[in-house]
Formats: sequence, structure tokens, C-alpha cells
Amino acid sequence: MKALSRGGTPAITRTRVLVSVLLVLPFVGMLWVSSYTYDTPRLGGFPFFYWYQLLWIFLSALFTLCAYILLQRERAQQNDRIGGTTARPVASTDGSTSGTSAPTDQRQAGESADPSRQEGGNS
Amino acid sequence: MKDGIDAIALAVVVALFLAVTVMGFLAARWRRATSLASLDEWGLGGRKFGTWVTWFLLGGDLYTAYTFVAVPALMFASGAIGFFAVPYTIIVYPLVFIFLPRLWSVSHRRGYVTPADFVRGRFDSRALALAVALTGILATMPYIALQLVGIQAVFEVMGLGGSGNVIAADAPLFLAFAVLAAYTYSSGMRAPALIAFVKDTLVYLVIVVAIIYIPLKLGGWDTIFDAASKKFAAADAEAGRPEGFSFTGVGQAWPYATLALGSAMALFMYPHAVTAVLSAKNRTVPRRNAAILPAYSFLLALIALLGFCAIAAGIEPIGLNGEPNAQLSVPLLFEAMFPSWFAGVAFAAVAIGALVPAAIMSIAAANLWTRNVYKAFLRPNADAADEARQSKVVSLIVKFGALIFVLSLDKSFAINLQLLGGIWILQTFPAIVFGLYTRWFHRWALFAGWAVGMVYGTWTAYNVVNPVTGAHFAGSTAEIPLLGKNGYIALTAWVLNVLVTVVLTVVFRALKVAEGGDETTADDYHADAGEPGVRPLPATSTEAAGTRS
Repeated sequence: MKALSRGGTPAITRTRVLVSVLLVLPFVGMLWVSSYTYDTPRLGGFPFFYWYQLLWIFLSALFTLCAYILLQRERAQQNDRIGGTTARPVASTDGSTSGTSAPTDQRQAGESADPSRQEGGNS
Repeated sequence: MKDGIDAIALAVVVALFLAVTVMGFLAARWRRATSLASLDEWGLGGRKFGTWVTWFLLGGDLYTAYTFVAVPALMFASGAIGFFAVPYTIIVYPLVFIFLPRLWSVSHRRGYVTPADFVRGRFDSRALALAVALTGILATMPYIALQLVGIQAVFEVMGLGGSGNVIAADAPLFLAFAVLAAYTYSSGMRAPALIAFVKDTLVYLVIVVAIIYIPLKLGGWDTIFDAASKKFAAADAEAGRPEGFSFTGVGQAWPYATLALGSAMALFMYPHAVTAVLSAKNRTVPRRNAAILPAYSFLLALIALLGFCAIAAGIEPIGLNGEPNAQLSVPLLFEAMFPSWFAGVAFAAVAIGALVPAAIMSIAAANLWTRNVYKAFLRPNADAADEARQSKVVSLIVKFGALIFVLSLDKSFAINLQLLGGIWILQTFPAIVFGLYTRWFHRWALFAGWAVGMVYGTWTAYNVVNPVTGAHFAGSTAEIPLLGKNGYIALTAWVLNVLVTVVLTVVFRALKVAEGGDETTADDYHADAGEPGVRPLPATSTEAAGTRS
């Protein structure tokens, strides 16, 4: 059985894979400590150890922001489908690539008209 | 330290403190609450805070004595290892991003206000919920203790207190405690909420001035880092440590990474942090803020480096009792660098900046007590006035607990107080965070894992002994069994906790031990404001959840 999450949409989508990568990167960068325990090169007087971590604050913020925007977009598309109110082509979230899967999505929407009663498996 | 009391600095601090205290008492009448007699009114400010106030409160929690006093003190004395606070705040945001929306959704579907509520509903286990609640209360105490130490450091640098006897030496501490207790007791959550604005304005002003003016005055960051480099190179050579150990963390990868990860995982287990997140308007607010909040981290990093500025400025932090006390390094730096009147402003910012989170934490812990212990176990039919009375008294008891932590534990590094809290609170992580994703774990296995983690963590931390003073609980890292590396005890205990939980889950399932029900459904974890079944939390009156902007 296919893992489902909210409103009968697939739990694993391209967006979510990308979001996961974006969110994991700061962990890799920061927890791999021996990659940055150096004094040089210095930047504006800051040893590498210090400026590299300052740089990651902004990288992490950027990645998190991208993840937020990606998920917002996906959720908006899900809402369209769950509501069943739109027929415009939406990017598929089931792993296939094109933006022409609207008919399938419509069918899903019909099946999941009442999201509160869905008993899908958990992601 | 300058001799005696700096009259101008003291006058400025007293004036700002008085202004804030008066506001604290007036706060009781803020937004025309009819009465403070109910728990909602006293403990949650009537839940009339919009998203911005809520996040101002949470943001305010980030600049506490932890930031201003404890982290720079560690940087001053031990160098690079203190900078772990930066990766800690960096990875806390992806972590928030991942699991807090699920917690928001399920809480708003099922009416959960505390993590213990969720655990009870999800695992049908009053014992596990009680364990989570009591751990939250216990872990909050050393965190509040850290704030008291911060306030104490400022008062001490201002020359309040003396060296004559025990009472005089600890006078700054008792003064700090009295102010904190008095104003939260009378006004509840409204006081910190109102004061947060004053506090954050003060704090931002001081941060901006400090991180621009002090490095300029000391001859630039080159000079500052060179001074630190020189100090730590000499110390490392003397102690026989590898080159760069203290200055760039060479050979400290394990403690550095585990302290950062353990602290990040622990942060949103604290009752005060959960309360703030749950009062967000919809499930995406925590995510949006996760993307914005890293700006705080940048300032935190620069404040941490004030520890190095203190080295470059030749600060020698000796307390009133004649003992070295690294916690004094930043207040002393302010005193040495700023004119008296601005030093006063900076002292007030640090002290009030510690007072507000201490108040918020003690109120959150008290609410946890009232809801998940008093009402759940002791007096199920308590009325609103009973609950408010309980919370008020318990918030006071929690502060006394914090005071005991300050007085009885080794104070060479205040940050150890917060890290000790982390060791405990992290043991509630499996029940809460894993519980958000799966019901596979057995409730009694989670309970056993929690118990093992608590005992192992406490015992290991107790056995960290200060080589000079012989005091227990003198550090937060210890050797990780099997790996032979030094690491944050919280994380080692957590791994043990998870192992026990997994193994016992398999055993209990094989033995068919009753698993209990689960009142949540899969869809609860995705619901957003305005969707079917999503309701304002029980204590919510207007804007926290139900209404859509």
C-alpha cells in the first residue's frame, strides 16, 4: 500500500525530498566539525573557524526559507485539489515529472473530499 | 573591577529597573482583563497575544543571560568550545521546521496545551505524561538558575554586595531573586509580555553598540583574535594540548558537535518554548519564523565573541569573594569600555534580559504543574481560582528550586546549569518527537527509556568533578562509552534511552503487554487553522488559533 499523508496525497513527493535535503545540509555542515577547525584563511580578521560558522547562519537561513516556500507551494496545490475547485494543471506530486497530471489529481480530490476522515498511513 | 559603587551606572540601572518593575505591576491591568484569578488570565495572559507578541516573547528568550553572560564566559575562559552555541542555534531551525508543525496541528485538533497533554493522548499513559511534566519542571529550574547567575554577575560588577560574609557575598543573588519573584507573582504572564518590548529594545541597543564600538575601540577584530590566539596558545602549550585546541577547536570535534546537537534537540522540549509555539496562529507560523529567526543567531555569535574582546581588553574577572569568575568578564568589559551612564544601560539590559525569560520559564513550569500534575492527579475537580492559586505558588517554588541550584552547584561555568537542564529535558524527546511520527513505540518502553536516560544522565553529570574545587556537576561532557570520545552527556543518555525504548518495545509487543489507545488520528498531524476539526486551544480566547487572518 502506498504511504499516504494529508488528504490522500502521497507522503513522499519530489518537493519533500528536496526539502529534506535542504534541511539536512545545515546538520552536515555544522556537525562535521573537523572540516572547519582551521585558523586560515582569515576573513576580515576572523579565523576560518569563526567566519565559516557565521557564513552558515546565512546559508541555513536561506535553505530554510527555500524549504518553507517549496512546502507552501505544495500545500497550496494540495488545497486546490482537496477542495476540488480547480482544473488548472498543477505540478504532480506523485513523482512523475510533468505538469499535466490534473485528471489524476482530480480523481484523488474526489476520493478525499473530507480530509478529517482520512485514515492514511503516517509519513 | 573598579572599587566601590559606580554611582552613575547604578542610578541608570535603578531607574530602568524601577521603570520596568512599575510596568510589571501595571501590566496586571493591561488590556482590561476582568480578573487575574483564573489560570488562563494569570498564566497565559488571557491568550490575547497576537503572533507578533508571541514571537517577540520567544525571540526574547533567545537573548538571555545564556547569550550575554554564560556563552561569552566560556569563550573567555576556554575559547572555541564556547562557540558551539552558534551551530546550536543554526541547526535548531531546521529541527523546528521539521516537527513543530505536526505538534501544532495535533495540539489544535485535540486541545493539547503542553507536551505532557500530547503524550497522554497519544500513548494513553498517565505515567508517561507525568514523567514528561515533572521532567519539564525539573529541567527548567537550572535554566532559571542560569538567569539568576547572570543578574548576580551584573550586580556584583556594579559593586552591590560585599566580601564580609556569606550573606553579603550573595546579596546580589538574593536581590535578583526578590525582584523576579515579586513581579511575576503579582502580574503573571502579562508582566513579562509587556516588559519584553522594553527589554528587547534595550537589548538590541546594547548589542549593536557593543559589537560595533568595542571592537573599534580595541583596534579591530584582527587585534582581538590575535590576543585570544596568544592567550590560548600559551594555555594549550602549558597543558600539553594539541596546537589550536582552544582557539580553533582542534581535537574537540566530538564535544563541540554533541553539545550543539544536544542543545538544539533540547530547546523545543522546554515547556516555555512549547507554549510559545502552540500559541502561533497557524501551523506555518513556526516554519516562517524558522526561516527568519537565524538573524538572531548572527548577533548571538558576535556577543559570544565579546568573550574574546574581554581577553583583548585585558579583563581579569575576579569576584567579590576574591575567586576568579568568568561570568563577570562581559559585565566588566562593559564597565571598562563604556562611559558610566551607558554601562548602566548595558547592565540593565543584561539584568532585565535575564529577568524576563526567567519569569516566562517559571510561569510555564508552573502551568505544567497545575495542568498535568495537580489537576491530573491531585485535584481533578479544581476550579479556575484553585488552578491560578496553584500556579502562582508553584512558580514561586520553581524559582526557589532555581535558587538552590545556584547555591549548591559549581558555578565556575554558568552554562553548565543550562546544559544540565538539557540532559534532563532531552529524555522526553523520544516520547514527544517520535510520538509525533509513529505509535510503534510501546508506552512502557518509552517510560523505561526515559527512566534509564534520566538516571544515567544525572549520575554521569554528578560524577564530573571539578579538579580544583572537588565540586560535583562541574561539567556537561563525559566520555562516551564504547567510542572513547568526550561528548555531551545529554546525547549519550538520549542514545541509551532510545536503545532501551526500542528493545523493550519489541519485548513488550512480543509479550502482548497492553498498549493503550491512541486518541489522535493520522490526519490530526497535518491539519491547519480553518480546516475541519481545528479549534482554538481550550485556554484560547481569541487569536491564538481559530481565526484566520
